[in-house]
Parts: sequence; C-alpha cells; structure tokens
Amino acid sequence: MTVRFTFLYLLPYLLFGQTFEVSKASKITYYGSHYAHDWQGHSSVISGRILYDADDQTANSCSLRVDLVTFNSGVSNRDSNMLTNLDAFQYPDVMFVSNEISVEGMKASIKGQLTFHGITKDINLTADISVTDGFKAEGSFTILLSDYEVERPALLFKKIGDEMKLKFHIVAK
Amino acid sequence: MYTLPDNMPLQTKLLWAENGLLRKTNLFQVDRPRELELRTKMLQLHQKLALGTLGLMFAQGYLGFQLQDATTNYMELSDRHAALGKVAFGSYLTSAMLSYTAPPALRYNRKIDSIRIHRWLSIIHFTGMLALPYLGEKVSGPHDSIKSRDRALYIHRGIAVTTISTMALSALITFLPF
Repeated sequence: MTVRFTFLYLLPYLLFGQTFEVSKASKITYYGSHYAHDWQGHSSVISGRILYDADDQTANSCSLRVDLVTFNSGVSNRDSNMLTNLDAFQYPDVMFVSNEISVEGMKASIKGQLTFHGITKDINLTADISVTDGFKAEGSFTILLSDYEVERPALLFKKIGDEMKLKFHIVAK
Repeated sequence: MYTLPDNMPLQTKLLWAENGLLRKTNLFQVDRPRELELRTKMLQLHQKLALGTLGLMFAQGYLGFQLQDATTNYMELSDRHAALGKVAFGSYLTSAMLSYTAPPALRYNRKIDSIRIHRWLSIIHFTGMLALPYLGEKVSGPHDSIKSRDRALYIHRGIAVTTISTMALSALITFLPF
C-alpha cells in the first residue's frame, strides 16, 4: 500500500518537468506578536520536492513539510509552549502542497493547501523565483491561528496575536 | 519529542527525570502531553501569582521604610508589616513552588536565553526571601544596644532591597524577546 502511494506521489515528478529536492539552505520563519514583544522562530529542516516545467505550467507542483519541533525562536520555554499549544504530539508537522503554480517572469502565483494543526486550508501566495543554479523561491504569507483552531499561548494576562506571518526562502537543487 | 530533555534544570530533574522522585514513587502517572498541559497551567498561575507577590513586596518595602522613621504609630505599622510579610511570603512560596515543581518543558536550549537568566535570578531572590522573616525577627527582637539593632535593620533592609530588585528584574526579563 505504502509503495503504491509513494509511486503515485512520485509519478508526476518522474513523468514531467524537472524535479528539485529542497536543500538545507532553505529557511522558514514565523513572526509572532505579543504586547510585551514580537519575536520570530525559524526552521531550516524542510523536506520536499518542487516540480518545475518552463514549457508546461500545468505540470508545476510542490510539496513541502516541516517538523514543528525544528522551529527555534531562541527561547526554549517559548518553543516548548508553542509546541504544546500546537498539539505537536498529535500533529507533528506542517505541510504545504500545491498543484497550481503559474509563473510569469520571476514571479509565481501559487494556490495550494496548508495543513497545520491537523486542519487543511486553501491559501494563495506569491513568490519571487529564480531557476538559475537550482530553484529558489522567496515570499511570505499570513495565517490566522484561529483558522487552524490553535489555542494561543498567553504571557501574563494576554494571549499572543492571532495573526502570524510566515516567510519562506526555499532553495532546491 | 516524546523523550525527556537531558538538560533540564536540577530541581526538575530531581522530580521528573526517568529516575526522578515522581516517577520512582508512581505519585504522578500521566502521559507526556498531559504533563505539558499541566506545566502550562502551573506556569501561567506562577506568572500571575508572582506579579501579585511583587506588588505585595513593594507595599511591604514601603511599610518597612515608614516603620524605620515611625514614632507614635510604630506598633501599628510593625503589626501591619509583619502581617503583610506573612501574606507575601506565602504567596511567594506558592508561586515559586508552581515554577520549581512544574513538569519539564519539551526542550531546553543550551545557550543563555531570557528564561535561563530568569531562573538564575530566582536563586538570589529565593534565598533572600527565605532569609527575610528570620532577619525581620532579628530586628524586632531584644537588643542590648542601639548599634546592634541598627546593624540588624541594615542587613534586613539590604537583603529586602536586593530581593525585591532581583524579583522585579527577573519579571522584566521575561518580557525580552530573546
């Protein structure tokens, strides 16, 4: 069963375009806010593949996955609280999958699904891309933690902000 | 992620490590996700109680300085200072225990961060807080000279100011983003 799913997953990459593997040079940063201070956490442990076909845009796709535990904000207590509130034991990763990537010049419009805290939502985003020396994509988008039914951690009497910006810098070879 | 972090603080290790007191005695048997929920609740309560305690400590300090210059109302102020001291001490110990005995976090950084400094400062104000009731007794106790009373007062006041300042600093540090 697993073999069949793996094969079906890889099939489009095998048949069309050029497949790029996400490298360790990639980075995803989240920006959190609270009245006491704003902070950011990042992860460079991203796995996934990008299929890019300059001639046939319908073949473009990507699949990215990040383990929540790899995000580091520099304060272990905060990271620990975030993981607890994200129910990381139950939902250990965040995934983004897209089969609709239209490229115009150096800009890509991406329609995909973000799975976070066990909930999948459609998101649209734009990215600056470069296909010289591998594949690079850079951009940002904003999510609402409430959309993903995340109970927000609190410091003193106030919860952290509902809005969370995510910035991505994907390098694939 | 399910495993316990190996670099947890000493007091957490004593209670919650694989061979910790709570594991060995089977006093507390829940799975790790529930432990983390409990940790969050304990630390939330710790924050609120600690803030209240800090307010009580400032009030206590104010009363202490008034007591120092008191003349006719000395006994009244002294009673108030002693009573408030008991409330502040109880509140402080409850808050401290909520933090010291909370289950371990999912991970602890090896580098210095605001929470680590917060923990180090707590050693200073915890020690100060334990000493203050005794030092207070020494001030109000019998003295064979004014000099010996002044000396006891000087030590009590010094430790009190250090304790309150360290507590305030410790609280402020948690607001830092790093």
